[in-house]
Amino acid sequence: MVISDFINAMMAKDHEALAACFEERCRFFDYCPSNAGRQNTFLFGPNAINMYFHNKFMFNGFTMHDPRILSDRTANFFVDYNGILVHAQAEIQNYSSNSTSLDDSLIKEMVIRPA
Amino acid sequence: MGVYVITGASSGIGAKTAEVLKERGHEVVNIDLKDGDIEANLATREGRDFALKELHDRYPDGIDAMICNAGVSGGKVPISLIVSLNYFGSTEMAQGVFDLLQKKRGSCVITSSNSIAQGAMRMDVAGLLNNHPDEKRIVALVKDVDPAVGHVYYASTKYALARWVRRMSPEWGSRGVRLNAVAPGNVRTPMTKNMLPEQRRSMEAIPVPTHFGEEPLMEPIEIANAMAFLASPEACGINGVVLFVDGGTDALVNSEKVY
Repeated sequence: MVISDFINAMMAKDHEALAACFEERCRFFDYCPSNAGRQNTFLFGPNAINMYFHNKFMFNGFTMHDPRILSDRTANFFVDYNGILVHAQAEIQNYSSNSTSLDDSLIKEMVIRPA
Repeated sequence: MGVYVITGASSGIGAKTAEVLKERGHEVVNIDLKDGDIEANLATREGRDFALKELHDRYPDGIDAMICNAGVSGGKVPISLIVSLNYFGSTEMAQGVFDLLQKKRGSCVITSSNSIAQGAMRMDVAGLLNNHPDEKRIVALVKDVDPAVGHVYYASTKYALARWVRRMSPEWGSRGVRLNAVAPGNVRTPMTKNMLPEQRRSMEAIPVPTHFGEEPLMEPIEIANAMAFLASPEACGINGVVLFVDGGTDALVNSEKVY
């Protein structure tokens, strides 16, 4: 399941593997940073996700802790935004339309919100 | 054609900007420690005074633009050099030629850095530079700081430069002199060639979207064209701007900062 791939990539701080979870015309929104006094994140496309998290992983701008996969669409975890922890929940709102099953799907829309 | 003065034009972004301006037919005066038309150490008050006197002697009728580009990155050099050259070497030179710029309703461009948007700077250091710019006291304060944290001081001086531009530009503009800053991304220069391994890893984690999949270093020409434009009369409506010339890095990491 792509949600597992997503979590594994986040935990490994592997920005390339993370980007590979998303389809070409995807979007990734994270509404948690404002809880840590930072700008929320709005990314469009896997290259943007790749570059953005390369930066965040290197400079400790996004570190995932204790993830729990709740379903094939949702996961619950803590995120450390440069020292400020937020309890968050990620939801895959849309998968790629050309996949035959969730097993070979890519993420089309993902939103992370405070849990 | 105009008289364009540029500091730190013996190499890197400065050299490329000088080349662009010469191609456009301008007279270019390079002020640098070595191989300059005027050779001076802009990290010292004496060096700056010498360079300013030379400019006033050579161009009593004024100059068209001043590009304050000389600077040094952190990591290997004393923190005091970063403070003196990057901040005071720019602001003192800019203020020192204000009268020459005013004579020709000219323009001043300051080289900042897109590192100012990445949270690496210390706002207390930037505050000291902008609010209490006593070079001797600040240099004495940082003289024993470990050069290993030079990148923090580099970003702090560049942030202070950008804020200085924002603060000064309304008054300067009202007196006929435009004042802007360019905030380049990581550029292929002698400065980036000598990076320490950890600096290189950090640099690679500051991606340049227009160079995606390649080494994230911009070419000096990409910055030089923007500097030449801002310094030129074509940019007559632009004052007080910090122009990010970084291939979209700032937009990537700060997309919500629209203003």
